[in-house]
Amino acid sequence: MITYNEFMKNLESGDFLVLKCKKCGTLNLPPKALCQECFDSELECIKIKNKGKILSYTTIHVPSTKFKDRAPYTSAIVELEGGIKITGIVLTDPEVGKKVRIETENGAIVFR
Amino acid sequence: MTQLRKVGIVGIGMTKFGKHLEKGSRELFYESAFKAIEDASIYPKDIEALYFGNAVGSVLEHQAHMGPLMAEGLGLRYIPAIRFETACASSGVALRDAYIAIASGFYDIVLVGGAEKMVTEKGTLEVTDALTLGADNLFEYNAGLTFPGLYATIARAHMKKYGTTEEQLAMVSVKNHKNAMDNPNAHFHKEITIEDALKARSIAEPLKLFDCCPISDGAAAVIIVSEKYFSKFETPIEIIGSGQGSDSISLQGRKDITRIVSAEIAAREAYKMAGIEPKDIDLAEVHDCFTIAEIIATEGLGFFKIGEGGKGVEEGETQKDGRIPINVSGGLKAKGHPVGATGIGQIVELVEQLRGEAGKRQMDGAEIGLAHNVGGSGATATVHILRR
Repeated sequence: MITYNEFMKNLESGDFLVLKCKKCGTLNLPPKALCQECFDSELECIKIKNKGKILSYTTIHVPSTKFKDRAPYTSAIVELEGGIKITGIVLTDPEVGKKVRIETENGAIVFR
Repeated sequence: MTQLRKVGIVGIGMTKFGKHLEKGSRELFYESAFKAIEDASIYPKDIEALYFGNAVGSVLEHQAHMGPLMAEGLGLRYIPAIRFETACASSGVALRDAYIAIASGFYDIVLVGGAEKMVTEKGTLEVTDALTLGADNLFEYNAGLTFPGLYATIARAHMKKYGTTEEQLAMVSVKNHKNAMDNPNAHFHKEITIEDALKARSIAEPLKLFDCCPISDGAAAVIIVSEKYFSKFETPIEIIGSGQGSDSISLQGRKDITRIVSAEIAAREAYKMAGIEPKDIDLAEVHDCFTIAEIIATEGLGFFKIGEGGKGVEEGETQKDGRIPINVSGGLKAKGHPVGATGIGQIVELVEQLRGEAGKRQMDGAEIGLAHNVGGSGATATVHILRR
């Protein structure tokens, strides 16, 4: 089991960790106790490429309080290998299908 | 499953949805609950339990533990009183659990409702922030997403995959604003044009102001009883189907972000229980917190094929005189969306319609109505089917 904090710490140093099911091969985003497809508990921690494609995005003009000084900004969902999806802030021109690298900035996930 | 008892709705009440500057959730809920008790012509002491929905009172009113709080003010001290929190589906889920309690034989008379106080001295930013509690804190809130942002992400994906247009989104809003003109309890009584909607300022692209429901105060309540008591009431409206589903709280955890699978599961269960199909529904109140949500709802409920909901609204099929009237009340968009009250607000509308008491909104000959209530960006959903 990898915690969210461990996942983020590894991502900070460039390693995107996922939990690969030993039984069916499905990749699961941490933290998970079981494979989301076959419910097997034998999960192996592996590293995947920290690159993916923008699946969809939005430019937010009315933010939550935490982001009030940052608006407008763009958030997106990016799809990586094995169907893993991750949400973050886009720091490049957004476009559906665009290839981006997944990084962190001040503890938040960003796409470049 | 053991044989379930029939469950009927015998009393309804709601406040106007909108701004109630002088009232908090307790005053709002007392008002709607007393109307429901009076409508049913029962005594408060007849009520065996209170199932109450509220989403963000813990933040916006600094008040949790609202079950007993609401019970006390209604003269219901000492009975089991529970608050349900499933984001915007809080009172849909309260109804679902109250239904189960009566159908299974535990209670005979229950008060179900919800209330939300959203218009406070705090502004839009704080309300937006409070509502994000219904999303994934670590992965979505930390990525700057808001509820308009989540549905905007869904909308762009739906547009890309199925060719849904911004004009079609605008048409949902125009229709619901028009429908609300005939609803005295609606937040807005103002018609808008497609142009108004398309020209409005961006909230979260591609969603603009009129794609988003307003911030509303309000409360709604119903009295539900077991079949044992049906003969004591004039027109019990039977709950013939009840369904509930869930999915990953985050969009990134879903298999397909253009669908709300929890609602599809809830619909399947409700249709099966009722022994009917989508074509048998006379009218539906669906969870249009954003215009794209109504389009996806009408697909997931089986009124249109997946991907064709945009075309459906464009062809006028969801209008009052269309094949399947959607949100005759004005929906969340124009009737308003006091989140914890919304699920029961939909039920109040259907009961008025099925009793033939909906005034200018009345759909002649309506016999079967459906209510679709969604929590978060689709992590929780309930569907209820009512028959007169």
